[in-house]
This record gives sequence, structure tokens and C-alpha cells, in this order.
Amino acid sequence: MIAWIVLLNLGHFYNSITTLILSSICYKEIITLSESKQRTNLFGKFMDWYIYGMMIYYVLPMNYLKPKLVESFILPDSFFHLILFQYHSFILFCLFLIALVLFVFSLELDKCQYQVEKLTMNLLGALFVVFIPSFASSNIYKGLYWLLFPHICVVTNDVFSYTLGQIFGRTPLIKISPKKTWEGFIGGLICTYIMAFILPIYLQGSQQMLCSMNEIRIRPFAEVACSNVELEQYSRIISLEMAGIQIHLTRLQFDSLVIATYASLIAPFGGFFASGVKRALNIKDFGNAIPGHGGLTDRFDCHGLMGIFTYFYLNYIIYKDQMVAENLSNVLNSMTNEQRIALLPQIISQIQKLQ
Amino acid sequence: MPKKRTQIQSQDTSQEKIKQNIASQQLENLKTPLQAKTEEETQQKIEIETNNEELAQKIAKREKRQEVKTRAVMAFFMISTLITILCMGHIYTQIMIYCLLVVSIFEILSVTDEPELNEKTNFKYVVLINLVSSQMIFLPNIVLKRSQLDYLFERETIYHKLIFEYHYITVFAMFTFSIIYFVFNLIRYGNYQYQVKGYGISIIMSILGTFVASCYIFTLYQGYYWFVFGVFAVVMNDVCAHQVGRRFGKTKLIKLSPKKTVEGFLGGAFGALLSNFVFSGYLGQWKWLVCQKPNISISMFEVLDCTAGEIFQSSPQAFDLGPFGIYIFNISPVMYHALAISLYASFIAPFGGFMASGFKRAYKKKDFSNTIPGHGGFIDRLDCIIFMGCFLFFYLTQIVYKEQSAIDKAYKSFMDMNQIHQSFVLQLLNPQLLVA
Repeated sequence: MIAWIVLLNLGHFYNSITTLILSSICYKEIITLSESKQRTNLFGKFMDWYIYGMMIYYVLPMNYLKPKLVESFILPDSFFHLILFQYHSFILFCLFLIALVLFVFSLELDKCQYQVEKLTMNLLGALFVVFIPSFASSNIYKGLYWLLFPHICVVTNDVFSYTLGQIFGRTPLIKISPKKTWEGFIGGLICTYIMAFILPIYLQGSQQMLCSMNEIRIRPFAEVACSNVELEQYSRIISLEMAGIQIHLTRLQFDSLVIATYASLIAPFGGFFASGVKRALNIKDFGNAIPGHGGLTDRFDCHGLMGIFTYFYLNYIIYKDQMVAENLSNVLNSMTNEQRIALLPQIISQIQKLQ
Repeated sequence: MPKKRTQIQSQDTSQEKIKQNIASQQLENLKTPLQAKTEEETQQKIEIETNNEELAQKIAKREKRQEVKTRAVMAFFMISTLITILCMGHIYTQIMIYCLLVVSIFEILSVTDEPELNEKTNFKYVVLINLVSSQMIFLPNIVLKRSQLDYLFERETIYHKLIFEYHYITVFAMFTFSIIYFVFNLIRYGNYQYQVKGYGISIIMSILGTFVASCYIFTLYQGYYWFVFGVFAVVMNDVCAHQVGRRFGKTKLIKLSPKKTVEGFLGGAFGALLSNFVFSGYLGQWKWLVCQKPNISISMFEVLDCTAGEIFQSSPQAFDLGPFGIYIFNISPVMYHALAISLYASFIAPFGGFMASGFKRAYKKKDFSNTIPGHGGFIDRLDCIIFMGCFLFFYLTQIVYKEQSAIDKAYKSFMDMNQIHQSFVLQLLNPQLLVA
């Protein structure tokens, strides 16, 4: 517990790196799973980590090192800028081609099926364990609250549905996970709602939690400060009328309730999916990293879906204008001057065509 | 005993039977009974075997001729259908590409599939949902330019919002739905191992296959020329490699395809380079192929007329070949791009074919399915073309039409903003125009 609190206070950058490290450990568990009695040679292990590298390279400029964040220390014409931003898709395509050529050359006639299945499983694992949770890490820069709250929601939902299921549980919920019950499910939902109602009140004025960060600060335990305008948008009151009762919610409470709904209703499907995979592979746990609980993938399976939902909610509903402006500025920055000049008549002609 | 043998293997004509009888009688007269009998047996065996061999050879030759005939007929049929659909219009070619995509994905899945379990678990609906969701990822961005689609959907309607403004949210919702549907399918039908494996393969195949198909559709809208030439380059390479390999082939190229040889590979590359170089210039003169279609319409057999872009204009250029003298050819800049595409088609596109062979070998099948008589399934025909599509997409957006693609991207981001921000950005861009 203390470790989590320390981690939370360390700073945005370190939390981002923690997500990366955790997803790497989950990927390592998946790799060890897909190895079977036929031991892979050195090239097989190289392919595993090559896929991981490609996925990380794909995700890096999108989520971990956004252009806005690294503006200050990656200058426009430096080597890293070229690799990460300008020629990104081209280099990705070349890497993919190299992977393809090497894979085809390494196929051996008697191990063909095993190699193809292993590659598929590793690709899928990389998709679910590296690609999807990386969106969770890009939420951090919009405020630590958006890292803390969704994951607390999922944990609360799990804990309360388990305990209430133990106390009241009668009707089973789903065949894949025989321990879950309907009473636990609904009880977990209600308890998560209660928590989503209370926690924002407590954190409403906290600058450290809610401020968005626009650059990477390597100094740990740094102070986070921002203007009050940002905080005020979360304090706007929304009034809802339900069955004659008027409820006044702050914007933050409303967002938290939406996230709590998703965490209780849909995020558990990530858990069911992981249970299905475990049953298909006839294993009980994904690994042995945590004694008593099984591997890291068991702990973090629901959090990936939660993180990506938070990403979409933040970027498309709360901060939509900011996201669109960022996209446009990224594109404009990568164009040359002549292209920018050529852009304007095009836009004008298109607008005239529409009207 | 000998008589029984002749009766059992009585595929021979009557004449040969009589000959055999005469021969056996002559043998009998010359040797001791036991020796005669054994020698009779062996000789009859040899004769029967040779007769069977000759018959078998005849049958094999006839079958081969028929096979070559069906192959040629089907090839002609496919090429003519392709040309007709190309003439019909861009939309119809796009529909054809989607149909091919669906068919090929179901073919790939059928290789790894067990048909009874597929029916029991109703798995094809899971696969369909995956396909449709992955289609949504690429459709508005890669396939169709925003400028082409903006007048199809008005700005404030729900379709516009779902497809363009909230594009990734729609994709996310569809994939979440796919996961939920899959979990319920797991619960309902069991068979966890089959379903989980199938789900993994179907997601990856859907995304990769849809990406390739979208790349091809993108190249379509840049002008038929790139689409036609890309496919033609790969086909030419195949044909040249096959011919050269048949005449000179000695060293094996790869374990997966025993029929390919290094000589075929390199010779085919060289031959294809030359023929593609020449053919590209020739193709570039046809207006029908070169014009870009600015809007999407359903009309059939439209005639396109436009001024061809700069890269298609040919101009005479002189090549100094030293002692051979100076030759003047009509070269258009597109021919240099054609060289690059041809190099890729010869050296890297065949790996799609090798991968398909590896896939087939992994599951111990000779062909993917029997859809096309004489050629096997659709994937057998399409496997080399797969990676050509990705390359064409990247090559066109990064190298040939670089400015246009950057402008399209900026236009797309611009149109997503609301009015206030749009006017702000317009003001920002204006001073630069004034300065220039």
C-alpha cells in the first residue's frame, strides 16, 4: 500500500514507466505460456521479443512520448525526432517486412504448425497486453486522478463483489468463472457507485491530482501546479432530475460515475476473457509472480480495457477540442512551408463546395 | 496360378493376352516345369507391369493436358472478369476486393478449422463480427480521403459523427461488442480450446487482411494505374521466375516450396524488371488508367478524361551506352517508380507465397480449398499480391504523392474542429500565404 502511495506521488513520468514495465512482465508471462514441450531455439525467442519491440515502437509516439511532451528536449531535426515522428510508419513497415522475411526463412518443415501458432499467440498477447494498456499510461498526463480513479474502481468492484458474493451469494453469474454470483455483481456495482460519489468530493480541490502536465519532468516528487481555470471546469455543477428527485453533481462526480458504470459492467468481461483463455490452455494461473494470486496478467487483465475506455472518454468527450487541436498541430508541424501554403486554398475550395 | 494372375489384371487388350499365352507356352516347352513356371510368372509380371506403366503414363498425360486446359481457361476467365469489373467503375472494384477479402479470410480459417466444431459453436458469426469491426478501423482514414466523403454525409448528421468525428470510439465500441459476444459464445457452446484459438487467429487475420484490402482500395482511388501495375508486376515476376526456373533451375531456394530455385528467382527478377520498365511507360499513356477519380459515384462504365499528372508525361531522354552509341527513349518519371515497385515485387512479394506454403504445410494440405478448378482456392492466387498492397500504400503516400497525403491529413484534422477553432486556424494560416 505504501509503495502505491509513494509511486503515485513520484510524478507522472515514473507512473508512465511503471505501466511500461508491468506490461513487459505480463508479456513475458504470455511468452512462457506459448512455449510448449517443443523447446524453441534462439531464433524463436528473438521473434518473441522482436514482436514486442515492434509493438512498443508503434505505441511509443502515440502514448508514451507524445510530441507535445517531448517538445523541449527532442528538437525538430534531431535523430530521435526523425525516427519517432517523421519516418515512423515507414520504419515500422520496414521492420514488419524484416520480421516477415526472417520468419519465413526460419520455418522448419516439421515444426511449422507450432511456429505459426506460437507467432499468432504472441501477436495476440502483444495486442492485449502491450498495446491496450499503453492507452492507460497516456491518461496520466491529463492528471493523476485519471490514473488513480479508474483502477481503484475496478479493484473496488472486484473486492466488494467477492465479499458480498461470499456473504449473500446464491445464483451463479457465468459458467466460466464459477465463483462469481449475481448478488456479488450488483452489490459491487452499488458499492462502486457509492465510492465514485464520495471520492471526487474529497479530491475536488487537489491540484496534484487533477492538473494536467504538459512536459516530462524527471525530478521525482515534483510539485504539480496549474491555473484554477482547469480545476474550475471540474467543479461545474450538473443537475439531473430522476423520479422527481433533483441531484446536483459536479462535473468530476458525473465523469466518475460514468467510469464506475463501465468498470462494473464491462471491464469484468476482460476477466472472463482471461478465464476463458486459461481454461482453453488448461492452466490455472498465468504465472507465479505474485505468491497466492498467480501472475501479473491475472491482476491486470481488467485494467487494460478500463484504461482504454478512460482514454476515449477523456480525449473524445472531456478534452475533445484539445485533442483535435493537438492532432492538427502535429500534422502542421510535420509539413513543410510550401505544403502549408498549398493547404489553405484547398480548405477554402472544399468549404465552398460544401456550402 | 499364372492363369489367375492374367485374369485378375485383365486390363490388357485381347491381342496382348494371346501374345502372353503364346509366350508362356513357348517357355513351357523349353524349360523344366518349376523353372518354367517361375520364369513365366516373372515375365508375366514384368509385362503386366510395363503394360500398367504405359497405361498409367497415358492416363497421366491426358490428365495433365486437361489440367493445363482448365488452368488456362480459368485464368482467362478470371482475367477477363477482372478487366470487366475494372472498367465498370471504382466502386465495383472496391466491392470485388471486399468480396475477395471475405472469401480469403474464410479460406484461411477453414485450413485450421474443424468443421463440426465450427457448426456446433456458430463460430462464423464471431468471425464476421471481427471482420466488420476491423473494417471500421481503416475505412474512413486509409481507404477514402476525407475530401471525397465529406459531401456524402452532411456535417451534423449522426452518420458523420459516428464515422468521422468519433471514429475511434465507434471502433472501440465494436471491438468491445466483439469481445462480449465472444465471451457469451464461449459460455453457450463450450469447446474452449477451439474457440480461443479460433478467436485469436480470426482477430489477427481480420486486422491484417482488412489492412491489405484497404491499402489496395486506396491505391485504386489514386488511379487505376498503380493498382493494375502493382498486380501486373507480381504476376510478371511469377511467370518469368517459373519459365527461367523450368529451363535453368538447379539450386533450391527454400525448404517450404521445393519447386522454387535460386536461378528462377534471380532470372525472374531480371526479366520482370525489364518488362515492367517497358510496360509501365506504355501503360502510362492510357487516360483510363491514369486519371484520379475525385468523387464517388455509382455510374457504370464511366469514361474518364483529365490531364495526366507530371510523372506520367514522357519525354525523350538520351542514354549514352558508350561503344553502342547513344539511344533516345521516351521516358516518363513514373518508370523510375515502376523500377522500385518491380524490385519489391521480385524480392519481397514472393515471401507472401512462401508464407502461404508454410501455412499449408503446417496443416498438411495441398491447396487451400477447391473453389477455383485447376488452381485451388482464392488464396493460392492472391498470396503473392498480399504484401504488394501494403508497399503500394506506403510508397504512394510517402514518396510519390507525398504533398497530397500531408495535405489530406491536415484537411481531415481541420474538418474535425468546430467552427470557432476553424476560423482561428484559418487566421493563423493566412499571414503565411500573404508573405509568400
